[in-house]
Amino acid sequence: MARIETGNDAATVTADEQDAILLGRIEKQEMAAFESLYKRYHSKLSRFVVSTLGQSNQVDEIINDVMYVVWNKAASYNRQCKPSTWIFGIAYNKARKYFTTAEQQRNVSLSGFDVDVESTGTQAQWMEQLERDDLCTSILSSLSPEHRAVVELTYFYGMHYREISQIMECPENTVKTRMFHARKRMASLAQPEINRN
Amino acid sequence: MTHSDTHAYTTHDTATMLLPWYINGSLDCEQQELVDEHLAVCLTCRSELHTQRRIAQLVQARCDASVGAEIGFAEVCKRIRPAHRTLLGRVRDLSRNTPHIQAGMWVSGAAIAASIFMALPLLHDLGEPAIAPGEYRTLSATDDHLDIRENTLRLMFSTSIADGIQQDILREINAVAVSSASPGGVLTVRVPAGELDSALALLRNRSGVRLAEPVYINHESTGGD
Repeated sequence: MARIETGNDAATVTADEQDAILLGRIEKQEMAAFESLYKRYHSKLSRFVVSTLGQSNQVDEIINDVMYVVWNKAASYNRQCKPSTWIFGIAYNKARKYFTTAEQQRNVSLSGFDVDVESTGTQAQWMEQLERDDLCTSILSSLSPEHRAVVELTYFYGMHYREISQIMECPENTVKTRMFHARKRMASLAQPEINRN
Repeated sequence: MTHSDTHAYTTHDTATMLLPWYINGSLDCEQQELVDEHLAVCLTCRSELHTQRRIAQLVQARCDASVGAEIGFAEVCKRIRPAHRTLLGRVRDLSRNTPHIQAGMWVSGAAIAASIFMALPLLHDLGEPAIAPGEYRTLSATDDHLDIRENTLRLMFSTSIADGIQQDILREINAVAVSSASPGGVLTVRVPAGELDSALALLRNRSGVRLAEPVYINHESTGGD
């Protein structure tokens, strides 16, 4: 929780309130406020986009697309959700559109966004991969982008499923179901490592 | 199955689905209490809780390569204010952190300015401009002798805007095409009388519209309408 001096009295402002204040100033085309918000969200959005897409290509472009929308549409933020929910929602949609476009260019089925990658190797081969790669990256890469997004938003960003449903624009039960399938898959892949610890 | 068996089954399913948010601490008091009570009596869920806690730790500990925020912000600023990026501004950005380049550019800039000044008399009679007189408003023009041609305006869409969306925007302002798009992508359209100001305001508020300007007639220039 940050403290912002306002006049003669110091007020304690939460991160969400800070973001809302910045959005109000961005609505008035204040570049300094936009720069502050950009830097507050850059690393968070970068990680979320990389995690959702499963790769880091075009992340810069997507982040800038997201923040460009924030700059142009700050007036449309209606405070019915947290600023972070609104911004992450824009990022999720941008990542999804990028994924769909990339898949179309590869002539792959458009349903790939919610389809997990099937493991084609044996358990021994999977363990060899774990020795080479970061464990978590290996596990997450087997999930679909939608499942990865739910896992990241839950376990890294600490969001409630209600907030995630607003970001992903789907029912709350859909969020729970996606998380259920994702964690089952992650548990089966990570079980040897978990048992070892 | 008895009523109590059904109730227990439902509670187990509910608690199972809520475990990830129990782990990240975002559940409200009622939900947290439900999960707490169920974990006390369900070994399966306690085992799942242990597994998911480990996975959550792995996700939280995962590091990603950081991407430069400064560079990214500079790039998005170019999109926000492309019209304000004069040559001097671009030179300033380039030499901001390289003083020796800045000094060199000052010397080069002075030499170029001197060359242009000396060559000005030679540039005077290079021929008539391709744009017909009266077609564009100039900085020297005052509003007294300017007229807007029949509620006509020129606009240009961003290349990222699909044709369907372009048509939707034109329908919103009740625009009728006066001519087909120029090679540069500039459309000339006419809007109903009295709606030009509102049409321009709407177009300029759209991020996908790169240009929206009325078509002016300069009565002062020779050859004007």
